[in-house]
Amino acid sequence: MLAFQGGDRRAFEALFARYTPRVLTFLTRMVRDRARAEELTQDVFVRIYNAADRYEARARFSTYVFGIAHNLALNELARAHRKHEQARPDLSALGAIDPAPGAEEQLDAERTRGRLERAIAELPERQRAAVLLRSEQGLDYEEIATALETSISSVKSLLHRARETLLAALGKEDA
Amino acid sequence: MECQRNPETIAEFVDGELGPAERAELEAHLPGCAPCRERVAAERRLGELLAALPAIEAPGDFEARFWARIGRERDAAPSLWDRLRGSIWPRVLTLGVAAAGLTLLLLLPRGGTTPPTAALRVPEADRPIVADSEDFELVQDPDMDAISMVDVLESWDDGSPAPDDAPPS
Repeated sequence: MLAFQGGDRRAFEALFARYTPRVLTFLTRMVRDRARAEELTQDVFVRIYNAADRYEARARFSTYVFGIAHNLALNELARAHRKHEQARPDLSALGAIDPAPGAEEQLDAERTRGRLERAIAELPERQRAAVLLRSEQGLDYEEIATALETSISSVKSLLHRARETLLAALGKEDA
Repeated sequence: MECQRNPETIAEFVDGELGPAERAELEAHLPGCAPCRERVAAERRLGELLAALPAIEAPGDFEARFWARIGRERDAAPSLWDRLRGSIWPRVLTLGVAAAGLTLLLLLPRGGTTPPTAALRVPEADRPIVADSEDFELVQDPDMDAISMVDVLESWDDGSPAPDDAPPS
């Protein structure tokens, strides 16, 4: 990012290539609408591009990126809620399920994944964001706290509640 | 038997967020506590499942769409000249007003002794000296009513009460 601030467009292209799948994955699971998540991902990078001269490297770049993505996701969910258009969980957008015919273990794995994705989609927004940033994107507690603009103890609480719900969802259907 | 240990501590342990002392303490606790071991195993399994969720790939034209949008926004944005023009003229106007005010202040008399038109007046040294009061001639009869008011005005200037404000004697 600092190289891009210095005028190196290729540095921005490298960031774009590296972070696009991560941001798009995060936003797709946050807003549960693939097409809208693509637009929001574009918005994230437009904001980064336009604000490059004001960027200060106070934290890891991933924290900066996911902080923007999280805010846009919350705005989108609030907008959809206001319009009574709460996005329907579009679980087909979360990855194609293509089990190999006859492979029972793989089918079980796909079922488990489907249950997990449904349970993630039903989590409260901030719990969903915290657990995705931790387990999918690999941010540590401090980075999640920065991205979500909250405290580390709040992150611990969000993660704990989210995991309780997810474990219960998986355990319930296993039973 | 349930362990009373805070489950958040187990999550921090699995996430690698515990400090060395707490980590060592929990590692010593685990061999003797089946519920905590089960919780650790469940947290790790959940972490693996979450990490194994497939990433969403962007469509092939995603980057091209991004640069096209940047180009559109740049074209739609006001030019540097437009931005300068929009922001400079109000400032020029403000500066002009300020400069005019400053000039006026500089031209104003100091201490109120010099009339505002001092700069246009003929200097004292260039004026003809009136030798005799007889050189003056009244061009009209004096306005005695106006002259009688002079005292009143002077008393107001002094801060003394005006005749109307004086207490009745």
